[in-house]
Amino acid sequence: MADNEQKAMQLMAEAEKKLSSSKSFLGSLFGGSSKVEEAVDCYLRAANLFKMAKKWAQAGQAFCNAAQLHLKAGMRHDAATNFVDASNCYKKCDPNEAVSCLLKAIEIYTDMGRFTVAAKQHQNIAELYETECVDIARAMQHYEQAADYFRGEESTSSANKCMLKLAQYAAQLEHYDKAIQIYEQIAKSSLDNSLLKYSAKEYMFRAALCHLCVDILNAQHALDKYTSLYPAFADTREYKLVKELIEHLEEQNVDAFTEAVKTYDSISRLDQWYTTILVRIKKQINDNPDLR
Amino acid sequence: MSGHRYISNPSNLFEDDVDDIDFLRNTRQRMPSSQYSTPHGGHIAELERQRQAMLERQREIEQRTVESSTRSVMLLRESEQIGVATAEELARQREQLQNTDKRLDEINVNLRYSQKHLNGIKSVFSGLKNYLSGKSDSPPPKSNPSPSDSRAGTSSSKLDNYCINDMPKISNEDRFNHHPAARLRGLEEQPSVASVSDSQRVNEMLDANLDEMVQAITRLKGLGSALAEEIDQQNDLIDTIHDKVEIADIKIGKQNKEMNKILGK
Repeated sequence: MADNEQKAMQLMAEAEKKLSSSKSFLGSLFGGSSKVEEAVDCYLRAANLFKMAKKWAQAGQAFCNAAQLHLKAGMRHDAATNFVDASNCYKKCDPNEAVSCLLKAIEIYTDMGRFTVAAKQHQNIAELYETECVDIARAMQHYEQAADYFRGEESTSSANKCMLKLAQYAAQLEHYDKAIQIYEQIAKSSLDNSLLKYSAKEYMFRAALCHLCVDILNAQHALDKYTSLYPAFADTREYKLVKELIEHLEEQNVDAFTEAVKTYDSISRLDQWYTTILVRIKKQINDNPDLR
Repeated sequence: MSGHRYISNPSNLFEDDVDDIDFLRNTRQRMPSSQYSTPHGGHIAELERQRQAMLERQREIEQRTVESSTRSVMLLRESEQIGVATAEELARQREQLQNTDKRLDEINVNLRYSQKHLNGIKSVFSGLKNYLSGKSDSPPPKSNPSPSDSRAGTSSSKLDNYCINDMPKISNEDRFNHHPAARLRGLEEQPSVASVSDSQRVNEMLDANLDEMVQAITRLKGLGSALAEEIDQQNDLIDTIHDKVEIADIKIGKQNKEMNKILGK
């Protein structure tokens, strides 16, 4: 492994020498471009060797250098690919650097008009913000951007995937209106597709829960609306659970509320998002003790 | 009385009858050792004990049955969730495949242009050939996406019909269910109440769970068929893409060779 690293360092030095040497007059006349290409080649080989030696920061640096050279030579596509490779290396050591590389790559892609790829990279950045350096607001931003680009390229299901994540975080940050809007829209559009209509009930369930966080009457109206859109919804466990929860909310009965949730949980697991929202709804009961 | 007990056992498929029979044989053996003074009263007490034991047994069996049906419902729902996630992933893949298809069409167009340029560079004669064939510069047949889309349209209508068919079936089940059992659909599990209506309640819960299983299985079947359709269509798409890629590959190889010849490498 150290062997690889040494070879890589040698290559980096070589590449830099090639770059500086091409400043000679004759060199720039005849072999100018080939010098740059050779330098780029050296950088790329060095980067791969660093990757083998697991020196991620240096690999990322080498890829970035290669990308800059490509940009100068006007080969934007290769530059963008190198930036993406750099960000992959930086992901393992320095997430912020990875994000900045991806942003540069996105700039190039949007310039070239390759919006699908740019959207994919926005998604990658958002995922980085989700997991490595947790910054939900920025993650949401990037998901929104990605969804817009996907929609522009008519990839509705990829757009929907980003919008779903957006709605999830919006509800977590208590932007219920936005979340409700997104869930309802996706539920409506998935009803049209024979394959996706099985997931419609889950989105309606989530939207109904967000409604519950805001206002009980809203939730009731929403439930009726969803049932009119999708009659089979009324038979699902989700619908029954929401109805029960509304009942218990009106009676301000915390124990029955918890009981209903526990029963549902024993049949189909509620993940962390659901538990957070349900806990918030339950807190509403405790905050309004006037009917007790 | 014992005949009645045995009828309730076959409903539970996971019950082994041997235990029950052994148990009863054992209790019958204990019958002679009675504690009461009058043999008649002792006999009755013994029968009473047997009855209690069998009731206990029955409760256990019913409990197990209900639990296993609940577990089945749970598993069915999990399967459905997995199926739904798969469906979404497939939808996304389909879009990507269609995008790839479109891009390949563009690539083929570009390759045709580059072939023309190469022909022009190669020699004057081919340049002439270029000029003559310049009029046949039509865009490549974009008819490929539309058959697959129309196929998607017809398949979705078939599946819509299918799903409309299963909705009346559900309402039939509803009507049947509302008759004998006017309670909640198996959402409570407190079988600790010892009463005569206990087994009736258990039966109701079982019925409810079984109905839910029926619905879930129907939905799963619909999902499964839809997934199968989708995968078939995507397979066709992939085959088309494969062919186009091969054509493009051959063209690119040829053009590379020509370019190398021209450059004199």
